[in-house]
Amino acid sequence: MVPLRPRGASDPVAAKIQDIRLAIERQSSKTALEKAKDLYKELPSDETKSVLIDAYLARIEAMRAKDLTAEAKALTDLVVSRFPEAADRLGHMQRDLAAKTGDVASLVAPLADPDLPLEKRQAAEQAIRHGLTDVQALATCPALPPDHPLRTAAAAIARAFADVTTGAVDDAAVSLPEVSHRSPLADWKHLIRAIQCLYRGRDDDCRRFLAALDPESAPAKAASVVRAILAESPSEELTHAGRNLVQRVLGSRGELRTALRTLDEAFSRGRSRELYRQIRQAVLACERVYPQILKRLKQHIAVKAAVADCPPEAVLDAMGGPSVHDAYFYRLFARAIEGVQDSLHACVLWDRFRTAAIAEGLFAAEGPENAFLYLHMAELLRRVPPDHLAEWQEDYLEDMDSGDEFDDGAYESSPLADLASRSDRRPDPYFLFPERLYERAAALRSDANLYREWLDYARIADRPEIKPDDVAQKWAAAFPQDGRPLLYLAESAEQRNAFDKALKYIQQAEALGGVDPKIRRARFRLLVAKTVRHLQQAKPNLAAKDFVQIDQLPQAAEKDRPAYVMSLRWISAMLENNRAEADRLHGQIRDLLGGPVAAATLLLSTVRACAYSASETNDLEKWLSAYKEKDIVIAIVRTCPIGVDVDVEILLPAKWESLLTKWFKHSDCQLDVQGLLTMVQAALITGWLEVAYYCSGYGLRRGGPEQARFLFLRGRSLPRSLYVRRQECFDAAAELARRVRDMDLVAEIADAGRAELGPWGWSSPLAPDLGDLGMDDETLRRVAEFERKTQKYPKESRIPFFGAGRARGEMGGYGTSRRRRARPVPDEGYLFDDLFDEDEEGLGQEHGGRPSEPRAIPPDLAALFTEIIRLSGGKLPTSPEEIERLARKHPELREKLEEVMRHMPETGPDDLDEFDSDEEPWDMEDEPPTRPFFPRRRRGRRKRR
Amino acid sequence: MSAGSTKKEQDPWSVLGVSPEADDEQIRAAYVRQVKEHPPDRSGPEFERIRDAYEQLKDPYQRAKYLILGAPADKPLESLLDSVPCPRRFVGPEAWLTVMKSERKESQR
Repeated sequence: MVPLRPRGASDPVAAKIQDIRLAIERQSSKTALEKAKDLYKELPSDETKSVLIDAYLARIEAMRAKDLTAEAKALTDLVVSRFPEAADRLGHMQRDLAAKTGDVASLVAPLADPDLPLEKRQAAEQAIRHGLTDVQALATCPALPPDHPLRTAAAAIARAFADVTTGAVDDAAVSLPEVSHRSPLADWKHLIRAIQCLYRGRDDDCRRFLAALDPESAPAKAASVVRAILAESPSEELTHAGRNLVQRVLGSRGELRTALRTLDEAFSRGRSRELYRQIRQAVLACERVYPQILKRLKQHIAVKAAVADCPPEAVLDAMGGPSVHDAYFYRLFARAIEGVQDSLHACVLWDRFRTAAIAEGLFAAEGPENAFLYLHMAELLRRVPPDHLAEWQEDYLEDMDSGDEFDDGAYESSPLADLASRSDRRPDPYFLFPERLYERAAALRSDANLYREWLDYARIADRPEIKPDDVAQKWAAAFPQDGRPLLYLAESAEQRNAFDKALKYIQQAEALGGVDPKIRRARFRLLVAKTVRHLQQAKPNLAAKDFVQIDQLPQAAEKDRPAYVMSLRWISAMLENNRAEADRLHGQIRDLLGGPVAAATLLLSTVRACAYSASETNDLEKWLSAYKEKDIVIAIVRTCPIGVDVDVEILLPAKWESLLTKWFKHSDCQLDVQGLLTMVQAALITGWLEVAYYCSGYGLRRGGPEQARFLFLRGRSLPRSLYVRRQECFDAAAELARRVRDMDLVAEIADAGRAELGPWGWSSPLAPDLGDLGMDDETLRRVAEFERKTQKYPKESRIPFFGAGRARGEMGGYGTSRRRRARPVPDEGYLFDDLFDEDEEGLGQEHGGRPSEPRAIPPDLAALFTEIIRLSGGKLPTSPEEIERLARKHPELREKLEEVMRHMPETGPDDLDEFDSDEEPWDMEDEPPTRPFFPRRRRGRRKRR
Repeated sequence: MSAGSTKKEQDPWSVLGVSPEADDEQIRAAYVRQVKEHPPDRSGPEFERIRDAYEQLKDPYQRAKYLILGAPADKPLESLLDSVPCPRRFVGPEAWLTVMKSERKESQR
């Protein structure tokens, strides 16, 4: 051995060593090894030996990387045998390669030594855990004694694995007590149990055992296959062997599942040739694999195709024949048609479902299922505005007469078509008329709420043949202990000025249990209304008799009712020319209501209600020109609740709006919570949205139990174009109301939400149902916090989304309903209306100039439109409902929409802060008349316009 | 071939073990039977499932509502397979070992 030479400035050995190391770094392992061998041969030393071993190590790594496992192992063994001192450095590689090449003996041999150091023992066990796949070889490996625990465990595992993959086994067969949880073979136990659960159909347990596997262990390599079997779908990540195994275990089920999934994706992309091809493939696959579900599959395909508006012939051709139209089909179709908001045809289909279900024996003709169906259909029809419903009914009846009914795609005969063709009579179109549906439901189900809904419908239906009084009578007959129909009948009689009859109904209601506050209030209100009638007729003597009856009512002394009664007495005194009495009463009213402005407001409203006209009222009107903040606020807070209580209009001067807006913008005017609530409600009804906004903000900042209501009112005070923010307020309010079990408020919010959307509100996918309203904690906190803190009144958005820019829910004209699929006729330029101002720019060419450029769409809005068009498959949505459907399918789109809406540049009217304190007091003669507050609620039939 | 798995949705009839045509008496009897097998103190979550199922079915009107509106209208087509038993075939240990060895080779690439 040549001793180490001291390094010189030009040491050739050092240079060669450097060269070899560079080659290793450059991954030229073969070159490095050749050079290292030559160097060691030429100058054997410790240093050159070390370099040689490094070169071997690099070469072995390179072979492993190229999957030359056997060659790498052979080289490793050679190096270790030639250079035993390299065993430490190459030990892990030797073990690893032994496992991979199945050289179990080499792998486990060290474990036979009971004195093996712990570190090496652990390294060997680790290699077994991660690398060993041939447990049978381990079970028979001669390198270990036959009774070695590892051999015993491996034998048990091999047995159990063979059993569990060959047939059903009991739990005892896979208990494997020989395998401890610390054993390097412990993961095999989990795999065996996972496979046992797989074949037993206990999928959740199977997943649990798979999750317990060490991801680096050898058995974990089978986990992806097991998961693919559970999902019944071979994953693209599996090897060829893995896919084969999945196929062998599942048969062709995975193939069918894939075909169905692909077909669903094709449906979501819309009509295309590809769709029909996928239908054909899915049907063929189903026929081959599971013919027993082919009937259902065709029914589902037929319905999806109908909803997608595919031509029936193309679908029939793709399916290779029609679907069966039984109860299952009609129910499926009806539900799908409901999903596209086609209430009328959904009802037609529900009727067909009912007929088919009874024919098939699913339920009896008079069973409770029918009652549910009738009510469900009535609910669907109620979502259609009455005018449109009447039009649809007419159209459908004409179609029935001409034989051109709604076509459910039955090109071949179906059981129902046969039935219909045998009948000479026109089928009863009861399903088109909510009142007939309610009648049928009431005959089958004894439920007072059903009558309540029926009466509610009758009242808004506005059709001469539908008599709400008749419904109320039926309700009272069916539920004699229920006072509600009697109250309605009393109100109805009052509307006709049949006060005595109304009082008789009240008497009957009182006989049931006179402590009901609604009944008590009704009697008082009725007597007051009778008094007003007599005063309108200028009959103070009759009014005097009414006053006697009113005075006998204990409820007449409640709240501020005495003030109102006094105002009626004032009118009576004026009619009798008893000025002194009138002045005395005026003074008492002033004292009761806390100020002259409040008194004047109440008196003038009563004057209007009683149709009293006299010059004396001019003195009252002068009081209304006062603009002391405190007096006006008191006037509103005291008189408006009276108006609600006795159902009379309270007149508020229009000028007060700007005053109140200015005041409430900066102060809450020291109102308490109830006062703020009254102010907000009064402002909303009068249309003073900013006032309502500011007051609701104060209410929110006060905290307390009325938060839900303030949030709801805040939502209603926002401009309609800020649809998203309004809906968030409604949702948050509903969530808070639900938490305190105020379900009346929840219902009120749901009604308001529907009314937001105009005449089609009930049918819109945006229309909230009671069960849908709500919000998670985080969002609720965010919304409440935002509304609490945001004080500035927002301005209208220019972007006409979701009904923005349309007054009071009008969404444009609809024209004639379509027969097959009744949807509103889209307003063609809807989305871009407000981006073009033709008055300013459309005349450019007439004057010889270039036509003006349209205003640029903000970039983030343009990007949003592009995204919407892309997600819609290249079409621009033409209604908010389509956008909502898109947003439901793509949650990220909803987030982007809301983000853009929140930051849209808002333009609109200038700040209303225009009141000048030096301005002259408002003069009644110059200004328009007052705006009524709380217009009298009309009950009974609405007048046709 | 194994008994296979049936991925049936847990409709209230299945939970109680009755057919959709069962009447009030049969439903109640099934409920009592199930509760005896899964009392609340021993099988809390299971008992709650049974109780919820009974609440849905005991009123004929609610039963009708579930029967008619229970299934969602737009469920995917592949859910049709949920009602069909899925037989999983035994293929012996070799196929599984081949997979593990081939997975091993795949992971080396």
